[in-house]
Amino acid sequence: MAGMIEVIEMNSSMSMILAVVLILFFSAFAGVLYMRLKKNHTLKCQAIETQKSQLQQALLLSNLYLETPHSIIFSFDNQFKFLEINQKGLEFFDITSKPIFDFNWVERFIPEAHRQELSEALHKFSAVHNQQYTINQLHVLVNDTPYILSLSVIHIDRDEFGESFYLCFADDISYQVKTQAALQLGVENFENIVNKNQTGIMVVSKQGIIKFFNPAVERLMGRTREQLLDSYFGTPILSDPSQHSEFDILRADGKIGVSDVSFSSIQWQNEPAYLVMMYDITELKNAQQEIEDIALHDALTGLPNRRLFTETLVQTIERHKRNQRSFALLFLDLDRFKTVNDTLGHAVGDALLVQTAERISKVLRSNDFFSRMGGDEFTIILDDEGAYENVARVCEKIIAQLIQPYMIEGQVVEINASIGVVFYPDNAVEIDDLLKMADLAMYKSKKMLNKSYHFYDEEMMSDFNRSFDLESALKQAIKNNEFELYYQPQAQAGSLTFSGMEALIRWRDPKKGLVSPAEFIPALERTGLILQVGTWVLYEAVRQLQIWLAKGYICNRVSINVCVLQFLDDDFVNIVKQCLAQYKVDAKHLAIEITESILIENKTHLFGQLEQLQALGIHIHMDDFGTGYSSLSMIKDIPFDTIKIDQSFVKDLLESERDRVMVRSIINTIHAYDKCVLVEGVELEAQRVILAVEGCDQIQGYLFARPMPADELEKRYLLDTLSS
Amino acid sequence: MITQPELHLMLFVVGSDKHLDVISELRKALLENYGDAGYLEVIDVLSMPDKAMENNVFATPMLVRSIPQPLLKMLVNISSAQDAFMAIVNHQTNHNILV
Repeated sequence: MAGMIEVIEMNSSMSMILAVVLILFFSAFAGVLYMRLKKNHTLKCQAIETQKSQLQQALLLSNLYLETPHSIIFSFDNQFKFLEINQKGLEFFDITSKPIFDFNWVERFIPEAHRQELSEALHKFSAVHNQQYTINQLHVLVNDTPYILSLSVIHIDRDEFGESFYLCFADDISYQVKTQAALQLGVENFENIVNKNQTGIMVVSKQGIIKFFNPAVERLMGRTREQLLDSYFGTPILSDPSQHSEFDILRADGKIGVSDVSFSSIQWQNEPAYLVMMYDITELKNAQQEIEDIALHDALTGLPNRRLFTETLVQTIERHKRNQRSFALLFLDLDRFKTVNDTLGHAVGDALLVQTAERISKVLRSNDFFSRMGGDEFTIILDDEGAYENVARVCEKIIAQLIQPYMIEGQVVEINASIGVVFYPDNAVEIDDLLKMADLAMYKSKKMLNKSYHFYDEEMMSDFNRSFDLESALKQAIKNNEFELYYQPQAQAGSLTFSGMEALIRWRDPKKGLVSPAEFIPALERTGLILQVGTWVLYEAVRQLQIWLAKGYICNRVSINVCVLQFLDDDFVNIVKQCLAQYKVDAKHLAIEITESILIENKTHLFGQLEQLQALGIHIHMDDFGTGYSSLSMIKDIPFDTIKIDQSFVKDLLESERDRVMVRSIINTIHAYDKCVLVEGVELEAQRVILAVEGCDQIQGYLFARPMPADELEKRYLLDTLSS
Repeated sequence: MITQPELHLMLFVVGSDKHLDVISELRKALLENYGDAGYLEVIDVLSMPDKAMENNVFATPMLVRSIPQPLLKMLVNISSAQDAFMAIVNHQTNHNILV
């Protein structure tokens, strides 16, 4: 009840009003006076009759005044007991049938919580004269039903009988208060739900005119209330209005946002309209775009990556198909990039790629698409370009840019590139074919010494298809066990007696017969099938060794050839161990041959592997010495047991004294490091004699034996070892 | 082909590459229904922001009929290009559109 009582100070005009009210009041309460006069037995004055008559008239008039209004009017004494009350009051307080003077109305009708405050306030008012006290909302309880009264109280100091009392005018405002509260709640709800909503809520008429919107729409559209209201937004035309659609929002400041918008048909001021709900998803879209950019671009160069290239190529094909136009696809690969990376470090390699990307970008048009596929591979789509001469010019410009020396971290780096070109739709219309052809053309270009770019031609595809057929046949060969091992015996150079053998793979194609290793080994290496076949060679050689050793032959050792892929496999040493363990063959009977070139490129990694193999007791042979770097440091550093000198040194041995001197020097050098020398390709007895004289330990070649199947070798060479 | 009165449309988009399907649909519909009398101007708001401001375009893709009058604006999405075209074509010129 705090604050419910309002004291209004009176001014002169209010005094006038009060005077009028008092006159009315006296008139109205003439009945009261009349009653009292009747009781007063001391009143003798004859004039009273006249007054009585006048008062009766006044009583009639006052009753008329009292009962006419809808207000409750009552008076009460200083103990808050009713003195008088009008009919409206009796009905309101439900006291029509009871004596009204016997109870304290405050105690009866005011809820306990407010009772004391009201009592104190009324007592306090009684000490102040000529003031009207207003209680805006007075809570009352009548028969346990709560009501709210609006109350004005005037304290009448003393009547002519010396009694002071309160005169009170009250209105039942329960309904208004409730209605107002409900209205207020509605307004608050509206405020909360609509005006404070972060979602843009807008009503657009059927004609597309903005009729209503909340503040979120102003923010979302970047426009003021005045700019929006009654402006022509447009009519939504949607195939499925219930679905959300994304729209770009053009803000007044020129910025563009993205909004997810849904439309519903409603009635607005009795007219059909659209309720438009707008969700600002600009930040979400920006974040998505950022993630997409990261996912679709190469972090190093900032160029589109392989994924974006593939998507773009699909779209480019579609567009050019629709427009019946041509485009060129360029596949570019840097030459010797791996060497730059390995020798100068990855930082220099990365900087080189970045600069390469910048240089190529300079040459291209804005509508060309340039991407990095990974490593040192780049792709370029020359949009709407079908003229060979134009594309050739672009290739030449690119190459001209790239062959300029690069200055990276204070070092001059020089590089070249190879470009393969394919045309849509002249060469192919499918994405996979285009990529494959561009790749083939690029490899062709790489093989050519005098040209850095090459257009795809049919011959490449024929080569590719031949190669593909070969690969398929090799897979089938592995599956069908079509490989065999031949063995070429080796001999002591001096005595020409059997000293060991080299296992050599052969492929017995059911259609072609025996196929030369030169034909299929490169294909095995290119496809990685060499790993599988290499392991088979190891197991087959050791299996055969086991059989021969079990028969008591003196085999010395069998050497097998191992390629770089096998050596790069971290599990290679374990595979060898497992094989030897499976057949229970002593490692000393096995030799592994590797070429010098493999070691040059992978020295650090292979060194450890070789040491482990040697620790098992396996001999290590360096194959084809003299065909590559012929590095003396290799002989010194790598733990070889035998160095096999290439046959090229033997060919002119009889005619060339220089060759003989060179062979002598090589043999002496190798011997100086306590390693054996085996010379390959010895075909003539005279050659053998010279080699024996120069100190060669062993020879291999047609002079002693050609490669032969295992059973033949057994008969011709191993059987003899039993008797010896 | 029946001779038709002129129909000039403007399609406001943000990034024309993203809306090639809508553009293609509309061009096709215009050609089929209006032949040479139909004209579609595609306005990429990114390159011509002033034109969007001049036409008081709040959101895109927005299809605007500039000829015949009255001006009509339709907010379209990718799947509703054909519907928007039909709505613009079938719209009565005396329709009570406020501009």
